[in-house]
Amino acid sequence: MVNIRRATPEDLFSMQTCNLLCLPENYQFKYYLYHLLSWPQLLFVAENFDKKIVGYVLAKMEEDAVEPHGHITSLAVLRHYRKLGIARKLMEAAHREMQVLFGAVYCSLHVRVTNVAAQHLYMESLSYQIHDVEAKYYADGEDAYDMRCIFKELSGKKFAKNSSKS
Amino acid sequence: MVASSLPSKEQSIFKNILKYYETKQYKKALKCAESILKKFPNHGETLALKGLVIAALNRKEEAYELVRRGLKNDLKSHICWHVYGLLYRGDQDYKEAAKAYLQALKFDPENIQILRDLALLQVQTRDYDGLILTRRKLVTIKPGIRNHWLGFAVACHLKGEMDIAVKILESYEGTLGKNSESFEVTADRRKEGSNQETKTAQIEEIYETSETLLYHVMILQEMGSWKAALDYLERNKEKIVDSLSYLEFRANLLVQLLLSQSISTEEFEQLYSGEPETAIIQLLEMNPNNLEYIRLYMAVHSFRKGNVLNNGVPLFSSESNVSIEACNELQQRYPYSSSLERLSLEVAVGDEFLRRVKEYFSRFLYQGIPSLMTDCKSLYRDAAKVDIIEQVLNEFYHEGLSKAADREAFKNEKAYDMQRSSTRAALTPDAALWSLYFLAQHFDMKADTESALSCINKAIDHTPTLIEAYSVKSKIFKHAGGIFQSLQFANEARKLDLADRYLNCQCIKLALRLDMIPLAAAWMSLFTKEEGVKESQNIYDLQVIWYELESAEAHFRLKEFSKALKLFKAVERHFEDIIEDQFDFHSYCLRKATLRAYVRVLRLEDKLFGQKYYIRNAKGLVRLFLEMSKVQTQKYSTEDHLSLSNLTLSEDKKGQVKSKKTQKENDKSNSKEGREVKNTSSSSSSGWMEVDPNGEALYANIRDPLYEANKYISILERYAADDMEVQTLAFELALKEEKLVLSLKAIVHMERIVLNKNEVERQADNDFYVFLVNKLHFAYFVEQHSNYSERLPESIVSFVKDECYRLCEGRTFEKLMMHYWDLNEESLVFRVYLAQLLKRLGMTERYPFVIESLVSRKQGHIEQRKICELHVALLETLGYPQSRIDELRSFYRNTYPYADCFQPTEEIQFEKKMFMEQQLKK
Repeated sequence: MVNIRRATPEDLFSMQTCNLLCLPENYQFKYYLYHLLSWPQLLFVAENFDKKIVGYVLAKMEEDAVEPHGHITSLAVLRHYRKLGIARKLMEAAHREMQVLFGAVYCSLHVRVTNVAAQHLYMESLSYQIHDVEAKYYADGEDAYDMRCIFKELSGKKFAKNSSKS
Repeated sequence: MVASSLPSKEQSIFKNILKYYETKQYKKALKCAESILKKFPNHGETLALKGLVIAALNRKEEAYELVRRGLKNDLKSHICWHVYGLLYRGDQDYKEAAKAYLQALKFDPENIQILRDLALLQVQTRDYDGLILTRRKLVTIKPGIRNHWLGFAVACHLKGEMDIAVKILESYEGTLGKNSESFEVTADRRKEGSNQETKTAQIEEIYETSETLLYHVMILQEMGSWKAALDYLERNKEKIVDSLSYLEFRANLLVQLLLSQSISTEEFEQLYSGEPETAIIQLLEMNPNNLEYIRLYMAVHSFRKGNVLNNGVPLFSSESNVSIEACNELQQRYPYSSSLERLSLEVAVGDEFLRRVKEYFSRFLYQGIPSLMTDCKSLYRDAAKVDIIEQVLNEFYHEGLSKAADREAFKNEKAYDMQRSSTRAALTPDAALWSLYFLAQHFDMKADTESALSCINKAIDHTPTLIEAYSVKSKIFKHAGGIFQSLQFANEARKLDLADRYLNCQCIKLALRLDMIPLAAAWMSLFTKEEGVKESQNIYDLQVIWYELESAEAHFRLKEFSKALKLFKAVERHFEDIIEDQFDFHSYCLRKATLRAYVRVLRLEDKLFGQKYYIRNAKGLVRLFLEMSKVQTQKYSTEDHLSLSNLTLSEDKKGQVKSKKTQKENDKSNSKEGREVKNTSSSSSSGWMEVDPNGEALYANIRDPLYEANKYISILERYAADDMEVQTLAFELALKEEKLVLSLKAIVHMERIVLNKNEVERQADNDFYVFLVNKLHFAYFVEQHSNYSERLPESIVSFVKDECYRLCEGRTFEKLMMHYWDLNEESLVFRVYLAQLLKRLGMTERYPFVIESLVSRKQGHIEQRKICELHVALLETLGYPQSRIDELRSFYRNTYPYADCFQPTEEIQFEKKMFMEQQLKK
């Protein structure tokens, strides 16, 4: 089983550890703090039954953007926890909050041009589209696709909003 | 800032200094300052500002000197004091900075900028009393600013003055409703131009208001004012946009109110009949896999059933609340919640368990999800469940085999595909593979290495490309003590997907456990190489704590102490940086209004040294300093004979005291240097790892390792006092420093740890024997220092004497030892630890039967691997002939055939060397 929930400050260490184990793009702790303290609702973690963090998404709002939009800074799932749809669920959770709380019109992200598996997830399951190519985006010289997912208009009823007392 | 006592021409030049400083045009700023100083060489404020500019140019000492000269000339200038504070703040000496700011305020008590800056310093140093005063002043002087109110409320909240914090928020919200225009934030935003911008600003404002309201709820909840918090939530419902937080607060508060019974059940029913359940259901509708929500539901369910709670204290997350009945209720609503299924496995028994585990496992089998078993670890505490799991997995395996055979038969017929798509429940042929995979993990958890290996080998034969299978095989060897073989299979997995950093990291970790540092570094560099940056510096910059810590421990084992020190210190610096990281957020979060997260981050920072990596690192440092002190003593004792032999004991003691003093001073200057290095590193090229990369200078600078060890022991005592290792280290240190009271304290603490354990826990580790043998050591120490009481303060003499008498049970060391020997000689753990102690005290010949027992007695039952390993190592140090040692090794090899430590030493060393060379060649 896996539970997707909002990240707490205590999760940041596990998130950083998970990131360092799984991905070649790493960040200092302060950058995680910056995300959490700017948009506490945009960080999600996946935990297993023993409460171990097995995946996370680190998302933000692009600051000073003309059109408000979100950005996925980092997304990772421990190798042995694949096939459970964790990455998709993490992304969807972050998308929802950026739209509802921060009025995001779309969400952007970068992905290595060789990372076909991730592109498949973004394009097939999450309806991202390639918006641009950024040459030599990564430290090792690889190019990145700049991808975007345009959000559909929010339906009148925000998700399960305060519809208490049924 | 307006400079006092300057003619108007110079006044305007003075203003220019500031302008240039703020725009980072330091050279121009300097010129201005100097032109004033030409005419008025003793103008204090100009001198101070010049200092500030010089500091920005990184000439720190000169800067301090200038500012101090400025102060001397103008002690009553708030500018001079402010600048003085800024210098300290820039050097991250927040306490000194705060002092200077307070001085500045004496001469300009209502200076908003200084007050705001001071508040930041006071949060950072956790001077909450001072913070409240500063914050109160800010609100009084400028009540029209939102952040002043929020800052004041946060200050009181942090201090624990909850009701005051609530009152402040109430009065802030009161003004907000009536006259929001008067608040700066709002006013600023109204001015802004375009439509989109206005819209964005509106969204932000709505969000920030919502966050403040939720912060208010958080405080009410922490106060235990659940009813008030619920009322408050209800009143402000429309303004709260973070609907998840709203619902979570509401559900938690309702349950807290219900379970605490702070209002009568009748009253609760009248107000909130059925609402706790409804609120939780709302949350579960959004996420039926959230265990916290499920547990909340269970707590209410169990309360409603009249189950008495522990002394009326609500047990939220306790497993004892979980019942099959409640699981069933929820599962009817959420049949696809795997968390619910998994949780129910904890409480189900017998046939019920069989049915559920079958259902749960089958879902993972169909999809081939590798994490199934890792998720079921907790079930292995129950032997009956372990048997059922084995039975179920075996059934799946055989069923899977026959399905695979079916497929062969139907290979070219459509019937097979039809059958497959029509019944979702049908096992795919891969089921055989995955059952083997899970069976291997199952046997591994049962510590049945043979069966585990047999299953995983079959799985690998079936599908040689399944990377996970190699990882599992690696884990099986690791758990059996065969770290080297574990590494080889981790490497097989790595080779199947070289782009996967996770697989790479698994290899690195194992290589470091095997002390293969160069190989680990080579693998690490596959993912951390960056042009123009030294490898270790890049790793340091990215705070790869796990790697630095494992490397430090490996260097320590190899007795490469300076390298170990460098890396342990690197890890420590990461934690110091994380503390430093808070600073920028003190004002930032007030602006963003993300106060709930902010307060939790501050609390997290306060417990930072309790992090497991920090604890492990600090222990490593203490061990290192203890070793260093041994090395130094050995050095001195050889020097002793040459030149120091005529020093008397008392002089020696004096020397020690002195060296401690200088050490303290060294500390100060060291840390300052450290900071400066860090400050310059951002602008210039050399980072912390690039200067003195092997730690030689760092190592040479440690004059008094025991003093250093004490620093970390006191931190460990604060954050991990109930850790047996910590107390053992504290004891070691106290003995080394011949401090009786401290060693007594450690022993008493160990006693408490052991007594607090229940029977099961006591069986699970060796803490009891660690305690016994340490106590013997203590008894010996007391005997050797029988005149200790003369040196103790009067007030504690009798207490210390009584405690020693009690612990030693009124016996001499020898009698106590014989007493414990009679009671525990059957235990190999005890005998090994005791022999270690005797060896240390040089008394192996006095009690030959202890040592003799290590070789003469054969074990009737299986011992823990760790103890067997110690046993072998001990015989080696005791100088037994190789044949005896090899005999013991091969004896243990029967029980632990895969463990590295029982393989013939030379063979495995050779293989390791070959492997490393081969890998490095690639």
